[in-house]
Amino acid sequence: MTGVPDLTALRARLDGGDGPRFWRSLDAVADSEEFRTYLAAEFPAATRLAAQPGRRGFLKLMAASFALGGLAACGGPDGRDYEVPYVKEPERILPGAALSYASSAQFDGFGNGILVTTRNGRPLKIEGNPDHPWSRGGTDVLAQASILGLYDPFRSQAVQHLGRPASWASFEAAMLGETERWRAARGKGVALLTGPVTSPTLAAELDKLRAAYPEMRWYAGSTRDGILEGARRAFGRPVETLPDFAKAKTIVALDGDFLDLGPGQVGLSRRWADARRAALAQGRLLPLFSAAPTPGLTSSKADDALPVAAGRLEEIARAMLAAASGGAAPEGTDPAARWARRAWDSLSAARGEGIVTAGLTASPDLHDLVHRLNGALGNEGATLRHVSPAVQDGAGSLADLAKAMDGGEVQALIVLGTNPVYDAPGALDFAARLERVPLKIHVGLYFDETGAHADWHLPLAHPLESWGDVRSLDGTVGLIQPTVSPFYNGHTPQEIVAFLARADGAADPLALLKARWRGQGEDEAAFEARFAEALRTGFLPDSAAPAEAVTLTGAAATPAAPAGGLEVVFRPDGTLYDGTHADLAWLQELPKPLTKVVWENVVAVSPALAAREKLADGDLVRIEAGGRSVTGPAWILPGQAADTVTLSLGYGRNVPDHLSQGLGYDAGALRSPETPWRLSGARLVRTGERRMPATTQHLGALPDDEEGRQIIRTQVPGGAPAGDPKGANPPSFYPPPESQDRWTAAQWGMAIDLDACTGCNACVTACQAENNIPVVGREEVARGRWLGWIRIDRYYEGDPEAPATHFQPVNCMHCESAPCELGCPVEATLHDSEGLNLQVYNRCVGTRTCQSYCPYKVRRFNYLDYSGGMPPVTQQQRNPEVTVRARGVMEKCTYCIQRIAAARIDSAKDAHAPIPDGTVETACQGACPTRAITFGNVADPESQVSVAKRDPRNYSLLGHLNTKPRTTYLAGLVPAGREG
Amino acid sequence: MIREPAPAIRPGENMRSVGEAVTAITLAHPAGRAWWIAFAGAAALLGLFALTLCYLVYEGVGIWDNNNAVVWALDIASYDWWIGVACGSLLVSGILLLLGVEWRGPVSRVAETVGLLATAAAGLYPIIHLGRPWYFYWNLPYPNTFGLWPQFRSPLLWDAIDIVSFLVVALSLWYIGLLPDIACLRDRAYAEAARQIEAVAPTRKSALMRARTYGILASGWRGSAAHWQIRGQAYRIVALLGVLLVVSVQTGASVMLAGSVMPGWHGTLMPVSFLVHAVLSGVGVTAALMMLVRGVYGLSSLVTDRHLDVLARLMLCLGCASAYCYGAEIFDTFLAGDAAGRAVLVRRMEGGHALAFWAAVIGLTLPPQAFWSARARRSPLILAVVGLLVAAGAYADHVMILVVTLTQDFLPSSRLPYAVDHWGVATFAGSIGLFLALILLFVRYLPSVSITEIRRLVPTGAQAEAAAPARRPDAERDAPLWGVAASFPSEAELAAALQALSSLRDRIRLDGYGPVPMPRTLRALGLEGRSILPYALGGALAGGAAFYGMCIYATAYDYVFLIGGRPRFSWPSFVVPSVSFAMLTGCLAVHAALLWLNRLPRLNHPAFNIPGFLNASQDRFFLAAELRDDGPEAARIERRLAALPQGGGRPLAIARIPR
Repeated sequence: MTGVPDLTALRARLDGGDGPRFWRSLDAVADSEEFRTYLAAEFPAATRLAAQPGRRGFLKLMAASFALGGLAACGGPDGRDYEVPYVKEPERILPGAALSYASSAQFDGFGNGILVTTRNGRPLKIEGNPDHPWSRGGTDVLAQASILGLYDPFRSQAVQHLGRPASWASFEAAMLGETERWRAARGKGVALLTGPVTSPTLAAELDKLRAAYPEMRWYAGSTRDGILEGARRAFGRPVETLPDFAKAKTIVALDGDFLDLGPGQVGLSRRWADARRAALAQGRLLPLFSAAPTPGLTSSKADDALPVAAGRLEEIARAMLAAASGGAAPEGTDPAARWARRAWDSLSAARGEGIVTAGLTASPDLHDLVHRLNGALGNEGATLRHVSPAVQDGAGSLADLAKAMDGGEVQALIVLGTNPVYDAPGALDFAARLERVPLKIHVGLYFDETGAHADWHLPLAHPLESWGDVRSLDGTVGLIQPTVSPFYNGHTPQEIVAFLARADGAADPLALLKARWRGQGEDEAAFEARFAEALRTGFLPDSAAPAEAVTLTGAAATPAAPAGGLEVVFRPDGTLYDGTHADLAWLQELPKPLTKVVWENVVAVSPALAAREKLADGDLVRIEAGGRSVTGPAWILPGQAADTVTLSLGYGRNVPDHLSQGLGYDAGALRSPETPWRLSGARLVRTGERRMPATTQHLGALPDDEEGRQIIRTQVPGGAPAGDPKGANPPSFYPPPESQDRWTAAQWGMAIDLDACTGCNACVTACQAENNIPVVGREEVARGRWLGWIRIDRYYEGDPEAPATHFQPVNCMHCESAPCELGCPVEATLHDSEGLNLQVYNRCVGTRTCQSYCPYKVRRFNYLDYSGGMPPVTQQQRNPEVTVRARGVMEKCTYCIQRIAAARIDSAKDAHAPIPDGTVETACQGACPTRAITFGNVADPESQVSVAKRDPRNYSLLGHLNTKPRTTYLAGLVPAGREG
Repeated sequence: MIREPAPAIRPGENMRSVGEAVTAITLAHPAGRAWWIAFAGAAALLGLFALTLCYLVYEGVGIWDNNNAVVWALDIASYDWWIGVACGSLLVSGILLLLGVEWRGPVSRVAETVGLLATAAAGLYPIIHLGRPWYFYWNLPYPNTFGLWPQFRSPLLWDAIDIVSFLVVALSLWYIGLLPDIACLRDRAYAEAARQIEAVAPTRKSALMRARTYGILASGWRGSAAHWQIRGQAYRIVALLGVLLVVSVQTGASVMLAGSVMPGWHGTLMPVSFLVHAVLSGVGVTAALMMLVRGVYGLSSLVTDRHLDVLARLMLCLGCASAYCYGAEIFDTFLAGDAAGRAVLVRRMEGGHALAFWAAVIGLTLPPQAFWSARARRSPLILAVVGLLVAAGAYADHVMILVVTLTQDFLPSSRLPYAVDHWGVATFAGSIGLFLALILLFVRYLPSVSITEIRRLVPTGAQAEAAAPARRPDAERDAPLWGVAASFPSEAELAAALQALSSLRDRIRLDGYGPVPMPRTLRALGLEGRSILPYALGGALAGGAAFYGMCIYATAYDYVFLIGGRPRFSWPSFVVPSVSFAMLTGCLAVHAALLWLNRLPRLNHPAFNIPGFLNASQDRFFLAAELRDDGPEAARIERRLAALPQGGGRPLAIARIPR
């Protein structure tokens, strides 16, 4: 076998990423010296025949080709003929057993701690990392959906040069000369554009890059500029402000967003919910006052919410600041003034124990005023902690870059992991300016709008395939470790920056990471131990940024002249955020928290504006401002400020053949870099056309009678208990089910705290990831066939202009007297001895009786073949423990029975010891950032769920039907006077 | 003013004319072109049905616009409607039969046919509406290797048993009623075929084929007195089983909704209103079809004003009952219902599907009020129109009940709008196509009016030819004899002749044949005490008890599961399917008895060799004396018969019948 070494070389060439990754035949790789040598050594006759294709030889060759062609067709499509078991088993990998790795999810540059569950080497599910000091076990929808992003078939899979497939080798070759020129020019004319950089390793590599090219300019497109600019005006330097809800007696949010989707959502909403629980334990309410131009999760959870134009927020803040500085309390009789007086009363009663907060979309002026107000109230340093921003400083803004490009100063632009052609404010006209740059290199997870404009596009490795690190909002450093080898030959940003700095071949990302964290003169063994422990926990201990002492400087800016006309505010989308992950179908089909619209964004208008302009839901309207316009369907949103229109970002993507193409409108076209979140003087024009968005909830107003009060109950702290009295079940003809007497096994039940539920949707996405719930598409949702097992009902109560909003997650209630079971003729739905309402998919014939009998309508029917036709790569995400449901089969929440079964098996190994409380955590429970969901054994009086169910707030939904649901609710808290 | 009821048959009709009028339709088919046009339309709808079903099975029930909340819409509404029509028409026929109403002849056949074919259309829906229709048989208790049982507490299982039972009972009733008529057709077709053989007509092959087909369907019916006796009992018993089954089926169909906790479904009045609307729609469809058959085939001599009048009064009565049901439901809900129930009622009246409610209320209660007028009661057109209107109203009622509750029940969040979609309509239209095509085939090939029942109204043997008994010289005198036969113009004379021969009874087997039931002949034969009631009773009780026992065994011992928190021994749940199953087994027992006691089917019988026996299904009565051995009795019988006085049993003809 003389050909063996040559075969190895050929393999190496294929593996080296230089050859075609997926090759159809040897012809594709044959064009190499190695192959010809290998061929000559292995099949000498073939070489001879090939060299002299005489007539007979030609015919022989053809015959052999045909014969072998048939054999070749027998192989598997992916080139693997056999699944071979491990000869030597890798450490810790047990076939079929789940294995979790601690890592970090990235959100707009910031990190949250996650655990990645893998099985047989495949990452399947994201869980929160309960030990992570910032996120403490919760996750958000983007973290949950990031697992789908790993398997996303739309991900960039190859290096592209001028839109044609190329290779890393060719890129490296092309850059050799280029970097030489840069070095010679000390980097002049080179520009680097990144997103917000919080990764210390990337920052270190960036420093090296800037050292190599001193004249190079670095720009970063950050969404948090307004927050930092506000801090700069108040304190003279940029700081992040972290509220400490636990110490607060009252919270006032001026356009606050601490519960809304964003990098701080997971950590902040957990802290808020904990503080609210702690306050309730002391018999008081931790009130939340919110004033916002458009309703978000924060204002929806507020105990006193005020819809007010964004332009009036500064005025309110100023009035309170004046009062805090010794002036009179805010005066006036309009709703805004009355709200301000209430908020002020609450704040002034809790000096040093209050929190005033503003959010991402607040103007720098408002942030400045809020800082000053907190300072005047003595909250600074008491309930508020300032830390230096996690985002690396020193970058120019997008506007600066646009100006530089316009001036022809940029000869080469490297776009690292962002998509400015899509998300730069429309006023910058980034795409047109990009044309003036001779060399454009785009590095990204997707071949997106910017990739299409670039000369070179390089695929980025998915965070689940990468080594790296990232800081949380509070500065905690989380480590990112790969859970699977890269699918598509992508590299991490650190590697690319390191390559550009040195231009001498690929750097090892793990080596870069270790190099950053190895202390000066640290013992190698000690470092490895420290690093291994950090990898195990997923973060570097005690790496949170220390509190900074800041002092207020200067004075608040003078009020600007009030602007007239219609006000437009821009908001990150409720499920897609900025649209980076718009190709993820889970996020597209996730109902927006308030509108419950899926697959597109809407133009939110207030009921008053709709009445004035005679708008109905779905009327296409054109919003004109600054000479630009966008068109989208109107949506009447209760709680919207009267003359404010909300446009949400993340839609209007235009990447050919991608999932997100053509969905919604691109609100960014209307934005300007000066005031990125707000425009005034806009015009709303009815186009006369209609296009009804698909929505999953068609009615949101609570019936104003006994029935309505049964559905959503509210509790005044210290008031009469709102829950069901003990033994509240109505009388029944039937004796209690026997199985509960016979079995001493666990009886599973769930309690959902409606006060803690912020409607963030993390549970919905987690359920989708865990239970293989397919995406059905916009048309099917419009036909009323959304397939989610847990839905978050959103109810409005009171005045549509300023309603109270309630969220209620509804999954299968697992009724003890389940109406559904009675209807099924084939026992496809029945009760087990542990109180679970089971659904036996392979027994189901699809009569749908169960759903028609279900008073909660929580069952979902596979009207069509929704699971079929999924790309093979996406199928790899499926949980092998959960059946993929066929067409014509009913499905529903199972309380994650696969997790219960796993715990039961574990207990069986341990002589059937009782399953300890907290061992079984449902997917929704695990994802919930506020720990609103409690699950466990209700037969055990000491279990957390039993404790929760003993809460006087505990009530059964539609309990009067005597279904005896196992899922119960804890009434939400309201201030006295608002009880329903 | 009490008016004399109009006669149920026109004066001047006799047995032969009745038979000819009806059989002529199937044999000569007078309204060929109209029939073909109608059949083309029905076949087009049937084609649409086939297309829809193919698409449905290929793509899934998602082709309808049913959604997460409205999981049942036109599919279940159509099922309920069809089974309602079937129940209604079967109930009409059954009650008329059990009450022994003499004029029911023209009504019962159409009603029974509508009942059967509507059941066929209804029976498809529980299968095709399934998510996985190829597993429909999982609904039934059948032996399987997994040891699985269906869930006997489910009203859907009741429905599955109901529909199978109903199909069997409807088919049985229809066939038993049809049997003598098919024999009549067979004989007429043979006569026609024989005529064509003599004429060397090119169509004789098809004529013979037709005669043979009818012959097989008639399964050897000879019109023997014993046949008539057992058949008459079987007919009445099956009708009784059918009437009981109707109540059971409609209870099952209504409990399919009432068994839930859903607002608007959860009412105790539900089974009653289901039954009333079912019967009303059944009468409506029957009436409309009868008027159609009457108009197309000119059967006004058989379907008289009296029939119209009675159907109209029935609809009026049921229309008022329907109004009472609506009134009671509305009154009860507003007076004593809970908030959700009241909300559903309000949505029914003014919600997105208010059209269905008002169409139902107006369609079911108002049109029958026209029949307060005697003129309207006698107008075939008004009868047909009102019949169709109440049927449409009943459909709207089912849609209203299903959709309004499902679009929004308790939680405002689970509201989902539903709009009627074209594939759902296509499916229903297709099922109408199936029904119409079968109905048209029926009126084309089978007697659409019961000959037997109408003949009961005609004076028998009115036109006896006073011919001398002609002793026919038998060609094969030496051939072994089966017996001696004689023909008579009336049953009275047949009975007299039998009486005369009764002293020979231990050496010969006597039997009498005729076109109508022959009670006097039975008495003369000494068979009047026979009854098949024990068979029916035994079959029904055994079947019902076995089914009930199976339910208990499966649910309480063999296949114990916790279902809806119900106790293991949920005895009330098993009553409905057991009753339905009892009707099924009772009906099968009756059938077995009918065939066994009459020694049927027997396609070839020596009696068919009696000269002129074809007339036994028209207007002639025959005596057959079967010889036990080849003794001298043949001559003695001939002598005795010939000795009888004219009009007192003297035969028209005597013949020796070879074996």
